[in-house]
Amino acid sequence: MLVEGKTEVEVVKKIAEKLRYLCKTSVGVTDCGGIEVVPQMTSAILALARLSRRLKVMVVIIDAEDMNIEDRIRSFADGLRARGARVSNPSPIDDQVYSVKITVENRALAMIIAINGVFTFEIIPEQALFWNVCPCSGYEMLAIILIFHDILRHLDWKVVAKKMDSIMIQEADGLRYAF
Amino acid sequence: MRVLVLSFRLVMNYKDNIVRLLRDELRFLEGVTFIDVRLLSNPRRVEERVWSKLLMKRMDKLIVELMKEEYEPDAEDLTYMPFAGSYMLAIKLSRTTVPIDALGDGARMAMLLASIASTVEDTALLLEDPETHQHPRGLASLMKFLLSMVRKRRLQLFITTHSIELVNIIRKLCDKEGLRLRLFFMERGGDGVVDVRAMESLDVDILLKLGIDPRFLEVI
Repeated sequence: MLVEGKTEVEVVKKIAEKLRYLCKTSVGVTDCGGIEVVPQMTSAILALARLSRRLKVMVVIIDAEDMNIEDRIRSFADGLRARGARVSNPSPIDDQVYSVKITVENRALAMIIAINGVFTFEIIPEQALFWNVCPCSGYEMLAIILIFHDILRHLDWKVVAKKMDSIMIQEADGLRYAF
Repeated sequence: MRVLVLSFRLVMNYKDNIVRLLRDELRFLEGVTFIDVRLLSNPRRVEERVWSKLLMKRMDKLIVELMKEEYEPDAEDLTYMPFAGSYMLAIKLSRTTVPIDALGDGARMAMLLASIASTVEDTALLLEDPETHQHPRGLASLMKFLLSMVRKRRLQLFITTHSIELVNIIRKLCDKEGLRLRLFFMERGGDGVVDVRAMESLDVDILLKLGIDPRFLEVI
């Protein structure tokens, strides 16, 4: 999972830690602090896709900038195509989260692209997030992590982590049911 | 019978043509030189094989320069000194002369490696873990020397290493010198099959920025 900064890494780690007992998917998170612009990020994705053997799903979070979500996804996928990757048509997982299949030098892997910076909802009661999720695979779990991440990115991650503790304890049964 | 003779002649002509056509390639392969720690631990063997060639072309001056640069700043020249009924290679310092056997491991290995590299041309040099016993600064000087030989003596270097310092030094030098570089991560799987992942220098940059050490590609 490629996220923007160190704070996001901490948030994602915290959430992944909380969800570990529900899903055995192994998630590696790294920030792109040294990679500031999208063209460089696409180069990183292509390099990882080409060099990896165990990676099954790659997740990236990119800023919406001035575009709407569909245009941003399309532009990102086009950026990957321009650098030689074959990219399937994006299919939506959630409002701001899409999945694609990316093939680089005959290596194919799934990719989840999440868009930051476009908020289409008001403050949602945390429980609603849990109640709305469906039973899902590890692959979809990543998408859900992203949704959390997307919502939480405007908060201090320490506050979020504390909140997560209480939510998880209170809603653990509901969560187990949901997943 | 006539047909057979004709065939034999054709085959011989064909072989001659192939040899003529691939003359450069065959010469390249004949000269391929493998240098490992075991060879570098045996200065006598290296001396016997390369030192006369080195002196004939006065390449020893380059070796002294390399020694002065990082290993023995007061090195002045190389000489042979009598030792136990024979002669052995020694380095003249400003106040004394030291047999190369008595040099530090890093300096001795660098000197022997540089000596071999200075005497081969139009071929490939296979180096096994040249970082052994080297201080990073010494390693940088040694690599600079070897890459200068790549240009001067038209060599192709194949280097195995476990050192990220070496990888970074070579990347920087190749970039500066405009030399082509490719890196290969090799991993033997449980089935004994070696998996190879080819990387460009830029890939190493990306991996390092992402916090992935290119020596541990097996994690991904």
